[in-house]
Amino acid sequence: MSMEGAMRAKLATTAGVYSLVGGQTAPRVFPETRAQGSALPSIVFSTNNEESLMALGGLTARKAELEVVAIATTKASAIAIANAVINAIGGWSGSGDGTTIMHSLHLRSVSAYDAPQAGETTGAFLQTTVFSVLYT
Amino acid sequence: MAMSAFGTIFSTGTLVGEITGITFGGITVTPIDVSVLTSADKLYIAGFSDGGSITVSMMAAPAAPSLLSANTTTSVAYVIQFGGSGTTKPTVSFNAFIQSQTFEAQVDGVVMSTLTLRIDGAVTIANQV
Repeated sequence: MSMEGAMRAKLATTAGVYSLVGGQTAPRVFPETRAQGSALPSIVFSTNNEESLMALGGLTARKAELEVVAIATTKASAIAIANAVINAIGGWSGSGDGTTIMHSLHLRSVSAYDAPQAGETTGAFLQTTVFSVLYT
Repeated sequence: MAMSAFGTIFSTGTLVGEITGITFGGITVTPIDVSVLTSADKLYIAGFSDGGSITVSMMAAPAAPSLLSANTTTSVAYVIQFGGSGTTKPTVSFNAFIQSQTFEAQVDGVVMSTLTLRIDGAVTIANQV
């Protein structure tokens, strides 16, 4: 049961997203990292700066920053995937993996470029979208 | 020895929410001047005591069967147990009515509500530390 599991499930089952990263059967949506040299485009996500919302009676909710990185061989493809991610989980609330997502709000986006790694001949364009996720 | 505020219990059947802060303004007593011309010093006796008001901040948590209580004209019994349950924890008991209530909703936040309770009558403090 995890927030990341719920968000991953939402991305992997949204047609606008999985159609860009490998298809419905095996969407390339990975936690933390992708295997070096693995197929592109893909999505990697991670949690940054999670905090608990505490009341005097105990934990009431959690709030986290979720970073979703679209990785592609062209800038246009990376942007298209990032926009699909925003459409899928920006402003979304729902449930999954035993977790209730109260809101997922797009905070900001950042672009970057990864030079070719060992064994690779081409680099990758990265489009990172950051979301604030409130959940229980 | 200090006492953590975590676990403080606010017992009532009319408030629904997850409380993040309680501010008890404290009891005040009106001093009555009974000085006379022959008094060498000012003399006072205690007049009426006033329980004042309590401010409760909370994250709104609507749940069946009711949402947050609206203003009420009826005093209701409340009990605050600072630091949680336990025979040695200070307990404040009083009757009060909701004098005001505000709501706040911000982007990327939770719905917050602040209530001001006006104490009506005596305040009983037990198990003071």
